[in-house]
Amino acid sequence: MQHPTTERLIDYIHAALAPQDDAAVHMHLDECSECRQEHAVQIRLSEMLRADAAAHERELPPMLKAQIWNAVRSLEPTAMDRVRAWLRPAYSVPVAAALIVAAFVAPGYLHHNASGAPSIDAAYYLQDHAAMNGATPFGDHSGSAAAQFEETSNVDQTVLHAVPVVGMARVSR
Amino acid sequence: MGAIRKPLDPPSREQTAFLERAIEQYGKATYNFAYRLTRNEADARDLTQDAFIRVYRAWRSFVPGTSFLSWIYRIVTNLYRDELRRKKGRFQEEIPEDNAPQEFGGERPLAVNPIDEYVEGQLSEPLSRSLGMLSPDQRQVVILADIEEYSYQEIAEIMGCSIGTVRSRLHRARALLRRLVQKQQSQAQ
Repeated sequence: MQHPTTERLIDYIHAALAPQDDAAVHMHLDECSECRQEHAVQIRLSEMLRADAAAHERELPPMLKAQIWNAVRSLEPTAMDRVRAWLRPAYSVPVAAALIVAAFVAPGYLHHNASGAPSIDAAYYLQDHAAMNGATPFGDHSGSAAAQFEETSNVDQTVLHAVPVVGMARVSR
Repeated sequence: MGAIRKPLDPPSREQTAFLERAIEQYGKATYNFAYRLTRNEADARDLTQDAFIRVYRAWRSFVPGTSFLSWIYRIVTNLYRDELRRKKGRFQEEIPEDNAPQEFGGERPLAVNPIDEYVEGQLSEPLSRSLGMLSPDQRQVVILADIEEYSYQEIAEIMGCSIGTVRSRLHRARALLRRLVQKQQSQAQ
């Protein structure tokens, strides 16, 4: 094996090599004093860094803990806090109950109010009926179509508009 | 700063206990990590405080069974990066380019007491000063790899970069450190 590079030795001392590469470097170090020396330098550097860190280790400043708690107590709610507040049981349970009730009631209500069948304005049939009567001289209603339409138009239009009239055309004719 | 309002919800007992335990068990480690990054007591205090506020806010996102220290180091890293970006103008003067040692003159960290000062002077002054001359990313990777002894994979997760980036930063940082220490030692003799 050729001499490992310094970078490879750095990876080796940090246990960052693949097992076969790690084993190869390990075997090489057994045989090569030059690489052992470089390896020792790298180890020494790591040891010095740890010693330096230990020499500079500090205790948590006593005031800092109190400062953290003060800061936490004066926090403003974030958007997420607001959302979470609305998800509390005090709010979420009644809202969920209302939604469940709505989910049961709404389909029936919609079924009654929107049958899905096409609706035609009742006034159209009345007009059509009057026109037919006017055009048939021997019909039961011999009055003019216009007069008859006037007569039927006096019926409360709001009631007529509300009545489903599907299929009425066939019956009236 | 705007008007301070009370949170909508009072903190739950678990949330308070979580923060209490986090400060108790990891406060010192977090503060030391922040101090090694910033090399400044006031900044380290601010960084530690902000990190624990994040912990408090995001306590639900911590996955039990994973390393809390890795989690809070990631928070500290992100906050520190934001801070560097915010103070770009000021920090630019202090950050040397990769592989470009600057003239010595970095700010010496404050000693807690005369004994610490003595230890600093006797044990590791050249290395300590050299560490302060690395770029923030280089310094961080050295701290995590050699002092905290994290794996490359863990460092990549904490720093939010690839393992390749961790590897190359560490190689460059150590090469630079070695040169700086040698230079300082030769100057001292």
